[in-house]
Amino acid sequence: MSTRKITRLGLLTACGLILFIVENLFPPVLWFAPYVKLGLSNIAVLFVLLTMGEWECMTVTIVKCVLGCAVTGTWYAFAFNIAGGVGGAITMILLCRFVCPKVGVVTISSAAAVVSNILRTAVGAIVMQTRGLLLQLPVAAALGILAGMVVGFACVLLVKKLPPKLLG
Amino acid sequence: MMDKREKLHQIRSGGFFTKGDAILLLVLIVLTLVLMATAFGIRGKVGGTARVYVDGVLIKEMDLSKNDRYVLETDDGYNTIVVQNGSVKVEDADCNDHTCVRLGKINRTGQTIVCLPHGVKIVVFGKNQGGSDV
Repeated sequence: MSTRKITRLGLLTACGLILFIVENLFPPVLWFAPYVKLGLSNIAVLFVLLTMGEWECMTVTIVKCVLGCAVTGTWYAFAFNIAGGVGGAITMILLCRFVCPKVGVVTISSAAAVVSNILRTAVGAIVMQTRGLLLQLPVAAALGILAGMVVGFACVLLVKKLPPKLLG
Repeated sequence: MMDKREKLHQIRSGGFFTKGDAILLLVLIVLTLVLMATAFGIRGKVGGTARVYVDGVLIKEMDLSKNDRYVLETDDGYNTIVVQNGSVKVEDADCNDHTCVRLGKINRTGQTIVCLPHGVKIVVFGKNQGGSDV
């Protein structure tokens, strides 16, 4: 791995981490479904996937989850963050590999967000041993579609507007 | 199959949506609807009691038909649990995310309020004892 690549990866991980922390400062989007989130840090994850590669994308996801929990001190949320993060990243990677560009990045991002939110809620239900949380799954999926689109739009805009030199 | 560079070029020059999006979007919407139908299917009846657990251990059972207020003290902090007009809610807590307070009041069997930082869980059960109807 070249120095240039390592630097890029470090910077983009930092970007994802900042988005993660900033999002954490705000209350959940839906008060009745606390484990459903926008996942703004996925802008960085998706950007790394598109411009760098699959392993890099996975690395950023895992580092972001571990450092994110360490920085915000929310270790109780680590189990669903890592489950949602890795699940979403795998969805992105597989869809990007097999159906992109027939299916656009915005919709791929939606699918990843849906998977991520469903996993977060499901892991929450397991960790808390609370089947009642599963009632939030439809909300998790519905918000995932919208949140994923926001993330996807942001990422495609970055790819379109940034000078080609910066895309690696 | 296109390589990464070609894909990136395609994303740069193409629009935000393609025809293929409709299929994946449809799959996602159908998934949401199925989950919604399932959630409605397993939605509980109006419950009779609320059980308060700390780290999975039953601490207190509250009758939903009687207005009540209970301050739960754990090693990590407190949660003020209030029963009012047949529903239970967490009125106040000193946890750092206040999710439990924001979740609002619940009254159907199986519905749950959780406070992860304190390991507290409040579950609504039916009027007759036993957890089988959750």
